[in-house]
Amino acid sequence: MTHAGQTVEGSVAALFRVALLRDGRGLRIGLTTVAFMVHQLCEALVPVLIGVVIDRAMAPADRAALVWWLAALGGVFVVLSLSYRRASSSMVTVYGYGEHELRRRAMTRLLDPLSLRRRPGSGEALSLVSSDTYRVAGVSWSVVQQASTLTAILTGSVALLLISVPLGVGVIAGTVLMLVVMRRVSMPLEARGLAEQGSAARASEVATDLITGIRVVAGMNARAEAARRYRTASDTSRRGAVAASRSVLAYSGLSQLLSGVFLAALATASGYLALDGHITIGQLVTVLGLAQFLQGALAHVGTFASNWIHKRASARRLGELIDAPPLIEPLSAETVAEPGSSLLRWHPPGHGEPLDLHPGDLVGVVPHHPAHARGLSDRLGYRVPLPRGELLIGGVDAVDLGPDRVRARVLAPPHHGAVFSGTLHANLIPRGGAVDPAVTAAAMLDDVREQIGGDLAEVGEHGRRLSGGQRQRLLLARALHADADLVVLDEPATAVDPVTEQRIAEGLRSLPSTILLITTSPILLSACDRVVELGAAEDAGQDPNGSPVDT
Amino acid sequence: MTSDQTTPPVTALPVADARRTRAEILRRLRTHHRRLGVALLTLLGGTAATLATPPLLGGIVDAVAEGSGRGQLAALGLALVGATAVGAVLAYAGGRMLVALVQEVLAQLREDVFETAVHLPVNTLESSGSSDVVSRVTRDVEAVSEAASDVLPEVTHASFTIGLSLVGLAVLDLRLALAGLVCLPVHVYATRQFLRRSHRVYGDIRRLESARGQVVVEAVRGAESIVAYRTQGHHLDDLAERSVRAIERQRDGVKLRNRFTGLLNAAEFLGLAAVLVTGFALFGSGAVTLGAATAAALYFHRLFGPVGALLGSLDDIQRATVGLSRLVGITDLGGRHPVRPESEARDPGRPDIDVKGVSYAYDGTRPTLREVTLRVPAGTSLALVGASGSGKSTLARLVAGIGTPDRGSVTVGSPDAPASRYLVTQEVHLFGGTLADNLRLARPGATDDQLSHALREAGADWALNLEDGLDTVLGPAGTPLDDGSVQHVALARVLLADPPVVVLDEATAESGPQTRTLLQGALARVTAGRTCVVVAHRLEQARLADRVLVLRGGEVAEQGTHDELLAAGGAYAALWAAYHRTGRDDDGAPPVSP
Repeated sequence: MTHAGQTVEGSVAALFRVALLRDGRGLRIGLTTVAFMVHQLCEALVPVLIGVVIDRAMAPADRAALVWWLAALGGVFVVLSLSYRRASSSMVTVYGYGEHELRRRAMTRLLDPLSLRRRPGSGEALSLVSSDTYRVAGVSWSVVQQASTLTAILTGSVALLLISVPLGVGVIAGTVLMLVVMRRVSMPLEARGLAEQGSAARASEVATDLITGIRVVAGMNARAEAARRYRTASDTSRRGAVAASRSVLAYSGLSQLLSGVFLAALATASGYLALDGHITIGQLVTVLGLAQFLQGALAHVGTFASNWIHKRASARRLGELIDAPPLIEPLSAETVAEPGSSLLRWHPPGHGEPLDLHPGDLVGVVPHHPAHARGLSDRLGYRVPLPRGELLIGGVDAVDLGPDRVRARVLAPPHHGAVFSGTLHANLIPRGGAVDPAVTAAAMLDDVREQIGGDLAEVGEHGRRLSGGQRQRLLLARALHADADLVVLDEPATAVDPVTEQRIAEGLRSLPSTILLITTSPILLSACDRVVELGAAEDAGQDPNGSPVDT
Repeated sequence: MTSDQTTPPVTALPVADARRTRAEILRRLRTHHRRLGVALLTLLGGTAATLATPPLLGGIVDAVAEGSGRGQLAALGLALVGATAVGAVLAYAGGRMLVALVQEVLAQLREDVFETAVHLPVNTLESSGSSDVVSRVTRDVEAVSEAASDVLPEVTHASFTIGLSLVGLAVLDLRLALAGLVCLPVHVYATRQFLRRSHRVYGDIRRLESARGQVVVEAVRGAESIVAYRTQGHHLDDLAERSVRAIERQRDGVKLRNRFTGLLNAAEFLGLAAVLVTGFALFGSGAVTLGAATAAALYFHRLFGPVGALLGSLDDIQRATVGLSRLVGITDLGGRHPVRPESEARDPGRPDIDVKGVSYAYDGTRPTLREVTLRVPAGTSLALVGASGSGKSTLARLVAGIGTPDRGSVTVGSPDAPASRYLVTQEVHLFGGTLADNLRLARPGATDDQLSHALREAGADWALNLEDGLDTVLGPAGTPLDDGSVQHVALARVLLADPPVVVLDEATAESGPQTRTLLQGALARVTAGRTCVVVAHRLEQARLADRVLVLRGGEVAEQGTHDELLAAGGAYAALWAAYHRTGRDDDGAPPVSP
């Protein structure tokens, strides 16, 4: 990946290529476009045939001609219907898999082991993975629909050119004029519409916020105030939605007006031509039918510009994510051998001496400040760039191993770990395997397993069926189930009561795993083989290995 | 405890039936019936103006056939422009009125939904999943709103066009109009067949897509955990599998829609052919002019678009109706759970807390609390101690007036005029918006000075030193706060609300020594002079309380002062001994020997 050299335009084009051309979509979309064009061609032929029926059958009262031309009309309808059905079922595949591929790429980057230098917040990430991929994938619809509309206009123009050159030229000129005018009009309208759509989402944000915090709200008797706040937000949203709709109404009103004027001009001009005998009455009817059909096609042409503005904005945002530089430098080409021993040496920043961890150790680390605890866990989990020499596994530098191999040996899950919807078992052992009763007992999870109805019970969205304490015990048991040389636990018992915490401390002691506990809890620290205090070490020059605490 | 514990019952929130939903929506629209009438008439006028087009085009044909002058053609051309202009202007004006009205009705509905939801008993909200409520006030509201602003104008326009075109045809010639109606049975058949099956298929598609969305949301929020456990592959595969399933079902949907479209095309052909054949016969017998026959065919051709749009949006309408029935389902709860006025009055004096023989079970079977009796004299504090699942938090909530006991009574102050109570929950929730917004929840009318004063009193001087002071936007969109600081703000809120009774189920454990010292200071100020119940998440909290009550399995195991319980040598004494063995000082300094 070359990050610096890539222009924004380049990444937009690349994403459109993914949506349109990859995995055989190119051929399929080509065929689909042809099918849609055939469909539109037939749609354009219907008014032409109406004119022909009136001209060749009705006016001369020719019964045979009526039968023949109605049969031709029937044939056109058959082709029209079949081509449309063929094309629309093909589009589901093109669009669906195109969207999926874009979503997969965005998701892969969000889950990049090397992390991202600028991580989008979860709201932004969600809108990237859902709305932006949806819009960019929609480029396939834009291409086929717009191509087929242009085909319809072209067919109409050719038919008109055959009838009368000035009329045909007039239609083409009208189409171009429409495109230009509507594009000019659409830009400011679009910008305003987007801003208003943003304010329309305000009510949802406020509702989610207040309902999620409903226990806190209820606790402080603030339900009435919450309802009042929602009313205010809802009102903002209402005004935003109304304003956005007005923009759309103004836009479509203008497009309706322009295409109507175009129809009137075309109809009057062809009337003059018919009056002067340049075209027959039947041809006049055809022209009028076509003009009416073209009015609709032209109104669609009017929306092209705004359609692409949306898609390009989404593609630009998505491109920024997909081409975003990683936070951690990728490994250089040569790979180092897997370290033989599982001896770990960690050199905490600002701490005098390195900390050695032997198999089976239970070591407590007291951070200088709780915020510092998150930082320590991030370092051991290699979620931030590490300087050379900070973390050594079996004598090999973590920087040479790369984050993925380091994480296979050192498991340092984040303090606010995520619980996923699914069974308790799937959350407990995400990489698969059997439940270890010793671990669930040590993490005090056994009563949770019983209470929620066994390992195969669902835990709900984000684990909402579990209380804070239950969730924390699940996270603890999950970490202890991992097959790693070292498990780093960042304040693992903050949401449980002292009695449970005491039992967890005893449980951790009983396990054979190598554990590094980042905590300020005296109960947990009392269970450790040794305790190291960070922060104060810089100036004090204390015993580097910390002091054993008797238990 | 029973061994075969099943999952707690999930009582789903109600959904209104179709009839009730329709009645409710009509009732809400009726209150604006005049504006609605004007908007619809305007739109109708707009559609009528545009429908002058086919007869005007027919007029051009007749004018040419009769060899009229250029002047008449020019007049017809101008009439076409006029019809278009009037149509566009009326469509815009009517659309504006309709949108404003519909959005107003919708905003009123969603506000009522929220108001009802936020006043539901917390237990109802929790057992049915707050996510259900959230999805109703967000996703369902958005689906309805989208339908209101996108589908409604289109459907209105399409229906008017169809109706007026038929009128136009009938005015031209009744026989031509009847010929056009030949296609009607096909339309009816196609629509019935489509709706019968589409309901299930599109329901499935929405479910599959929402399940896929769920995977995305959880993976995005849990990215750090996924990376730590190196389970990216698992989540991406899961996403791929769900995507494929949604696409496959969409294919079924397209098949249905294609069959529907095919029948519509057949109907279009049948109707058009019938109009042309009738026109042929009538023109042959001299009953109509060529222009009239042309206009009839053009009228009919003009119907293709609106008929397709109307029938095509039936599915969207169905979806919006489902959303509406879920919203009405909530507003209908408003009657059953009367909105209790929140005790705003500040009671003079300090009330007692009296709990007598309280029992409580969440699911109605397995009791969480059994025959709990306790008393907290005015101005004193009681600490609740116990293992998780012992019922401390449940008892605290009952004392705070959130939920009512199955048996027994909770009295705070005098039984006739219960004192207002304030509960600081275990949940740490930072509300969106500014620091002032977060504080004013507890006391909406508070002045900036009062807010600053409360923060200072709580020892939260750091909050006053934020970049924009009280107007600093907090959270992911602005200045992020750690959990300890969010709790600190929560304690400042108590001082702001100044309640006579405080229940603290608050865990300062998340915070480290420095923040904890600050928070303990704030806690001391919050409890000073108030009657309070404290759920002890740390044993220091128990020692500082006037009395301690130990819960075990929902029953009172022992109660007394800290010293009494230590002397008694029971569960509390054992707990304290284990805790104290760690050699930890009460101020929270970690144990490090030199």
